[in-house]
Formats: sequence, structure tokens, C-alpha cells
Amino acid sequence: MEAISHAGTAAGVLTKEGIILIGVQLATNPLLEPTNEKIFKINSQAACAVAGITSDATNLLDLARKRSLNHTLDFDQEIPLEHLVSTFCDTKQHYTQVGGQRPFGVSFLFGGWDEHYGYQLYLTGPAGNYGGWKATAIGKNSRSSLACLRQDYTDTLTLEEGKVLALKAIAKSLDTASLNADIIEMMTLTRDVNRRPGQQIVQTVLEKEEIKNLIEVHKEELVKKDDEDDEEN
Amino acid sequence: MSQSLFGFRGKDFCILAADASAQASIVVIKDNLDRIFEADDHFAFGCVGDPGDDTTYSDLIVRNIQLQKFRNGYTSTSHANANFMRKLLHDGLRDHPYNVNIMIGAVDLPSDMNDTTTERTELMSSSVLIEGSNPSPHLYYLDYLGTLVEVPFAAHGYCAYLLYGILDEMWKKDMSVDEAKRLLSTCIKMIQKRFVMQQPKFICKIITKDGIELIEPLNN
Repeated sequence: MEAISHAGTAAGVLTKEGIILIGVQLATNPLLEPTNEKIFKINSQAACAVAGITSDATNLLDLARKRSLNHTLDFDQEIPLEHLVSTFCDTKQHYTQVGGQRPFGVSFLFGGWDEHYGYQLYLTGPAGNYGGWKATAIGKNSRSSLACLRQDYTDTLTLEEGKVLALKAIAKSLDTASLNADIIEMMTLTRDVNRRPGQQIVQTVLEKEEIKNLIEVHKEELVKKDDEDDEEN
Repeated sequence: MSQSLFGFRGKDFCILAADASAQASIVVIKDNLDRIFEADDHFAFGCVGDPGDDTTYSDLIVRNIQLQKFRNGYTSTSHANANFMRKLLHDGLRDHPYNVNIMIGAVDLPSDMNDTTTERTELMSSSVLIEGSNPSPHLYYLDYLGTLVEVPFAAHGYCAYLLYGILDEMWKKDMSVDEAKRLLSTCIKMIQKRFVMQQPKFICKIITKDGIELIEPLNN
């Protein structure tokens, strides 16, 4: 639990047009090779953002991917997201109950699409609890992000508006005044009905340039909101 | 092999037919055996093969499909169910083979026609559902080796020798229910006329968006 509240913030936003996942890399160093450590693909229909002990996260991701592939082997169909999340959480819960081992110190945001419930966003905790959300955040200062999401989220968001909202929420959680695109990882998950069945879900990792542009274009909005926040405090 | 099982697809429905007699050696011991199992509201399959194997396997499938539905709160697609059945046959092949041949008939409903799904989705998210398309019928041929194919019509066992000619000639795309019932009658008559075993009674079921029903063949 403690590890999660110190980890780089991650947020997810559900819109009618798709899902946005976003994460902040905390320890960046110009000497460090650029890596992605916040957002990962699970299968052709689902991805997740993590906050917590990254090594725990990668380990659990392996598990989620294996579960997903096993389901594909049995049913020749991607695993429905809630099904994946619930079996995945069963495993996490197990480690809270058996002796000798510590539980996993990591929270996940699962974003995905399936033919049963459409776009979905789930938050899972280290205890194995999970719930569906329209927009949520985990990690360091996620309270501020959540407040922002609660205030600005509407059911009619477009994907572009969702991206800005996600950035805004992340900006709230950071101590620095301005957003730095270099520490942000962002992806979108959308459905393209023109593609052939089974390959309709498009997962796009946003290039740094693109994130920079977004921040630049919506600079005022992102900063202005920060000021309001200060006034409130 | 001597048991008859066949089926075909119509415009928005599937029809399965199986002979209703049970044999032990040269004796007919039953003439009202229902070999067509209803695993779900819109998912049925006919099962012929070794007595014992057929009931064991069918029961296993029916219970598992029900269990999945209970756990998930929605019905799996017929494609998923069919592949699950295939996997089970194939997993058993080298170890505990089920000597059964299967014909699956199912209708997939778009999610906005599925009551439970709609309820949940409204509650959960503002997501757009799968586009409201028409119910889609699916017929799968599945043999004891685990060969799964989706087909417009198919037959298992000796009756295949007699029926494929008729089905090839008379099956039409987008058949109506009445046309399908006439084809059904032609097929059954052919089996009863040319096949050396007596199969006086057939059980026929139609799978539509409204569920599974018993039907009678329609004489011309």
C-alpha cells in the first residue's frame, strides 16, 4: 500500500470513443535509456497502467498475459476483460492469505474492450479488490488527480477531450508547475469497426512529440486549472 | 456410426435432427431418446457415439456452459462455446478419448438484445455496445478427433452418405422455417427409405433468437 502511494501516478479515462491510460515515470535521469515502465499491453483488447513496485508489476503482468493466452487457447477468443481482472485478483488475494510471502505491492488500471460490456476500466488493488470506473487515478498524489477527474469528467467526452483531461489530472498530482512530456507515458485504446473482426481494437502509444504538442496546445487550460487549485488551498 | 445426426442453417435459425432410437447390440431398447442437448437458451448440440461417452461428455459440456454463464453473468458466444467443446475433446484424445461426434446449433444475439448484458452495461459505463446487428445463426461440425468447422449443413455417421447429396442440391442460403421443415422431411424420408437400420422416429429442434423448440418435419 505504502509503495503505491509513492509510485508515479497513473490515471485512466473512459470515453465513448475509447480509453486513455496515462502514467508518470518518477525517476528519470538523462543517462537512463528511455523505457516504458507504466503502461503495458496484455492482449489484443486490453492494456494496463501500473503503480507500485515495478518488478512486482512485471511479474503479475506475465501472469495476466498467460491467463489471457490460456483463455484464447480454450475458447479461440480474447478473454473478456472482467473475467481476466477477476481471476487475476483471485491470485492477488491469495497472497494476502497464505503465510510466508508478502503480498504484491502494486495497483493496476486495466483498460479494454470486449463484446459483452464494450469499453471498460478497472482498478485493482494489492489486496485483490477491484472495481469498474469511468475515470480514476492511482499512485502518488492520486487524491488531487481524482478530485480533478471528479470535477471535469462528463459522460460525453470525446477521445481528444479525454486525453486533455488525463493530462490535466496527471498535472495536478505533480509538484512541478509545468508538465514535462519526457516523463509521461500515454496510450489510447479504441475500436475501429472497419477492421476485420478480432483485430478491431487499436492500441496506440502516444509519441513524446504528440504529448508535447498536446501540452503545448492546451497549455493555458492545464496551467489555469493549477492556479484555481492554489486559490482553493 | 449407425446413429443419425444432421443439421443445417437457415436465415436466422439452425435446425438439428437426430434419430431417437437407442440400440444395444441387435436390440432396440428405446425409441424416444433425445440426443439433442440444450446447454443454454440459444445453444444446443446433438451428440452421437459410444453410449456412456455421449452422456458423460454432454453432461460435462452442459454443466460447464451453465457454470460459465453463472460466473460471468452473461452467455459466452457460440464460437467460444464451440471451441471449448473442441478443446475438451482434443485434450482427452490421447488419454481418455470421448468417442462422440457432435453437431452444434446456436444463435448469437447482439448484446442489446440480451437482457442481462444491457442492464449491467448501463450500470457500469457509458460505453457504446456492439452495433445492433441481427441474430446470427451458427452451425458447427465437430468430430471425435476435435475437428471443428463452421458449416451451412452437415451430417454425421452413415446418414452422411445419404444426406450430403440432398443437402448439396436442396439447401439454399437464407431459407425460411417452412422451407427448412420441408428439407428436414426430405432428409428423414431418405434415411428411412435407404438406410438398412430402422429409425422410425427423429427428434428435431430449431434454435432461434426466441429459444429452442421441438419441431415436426413438414410434408410437401
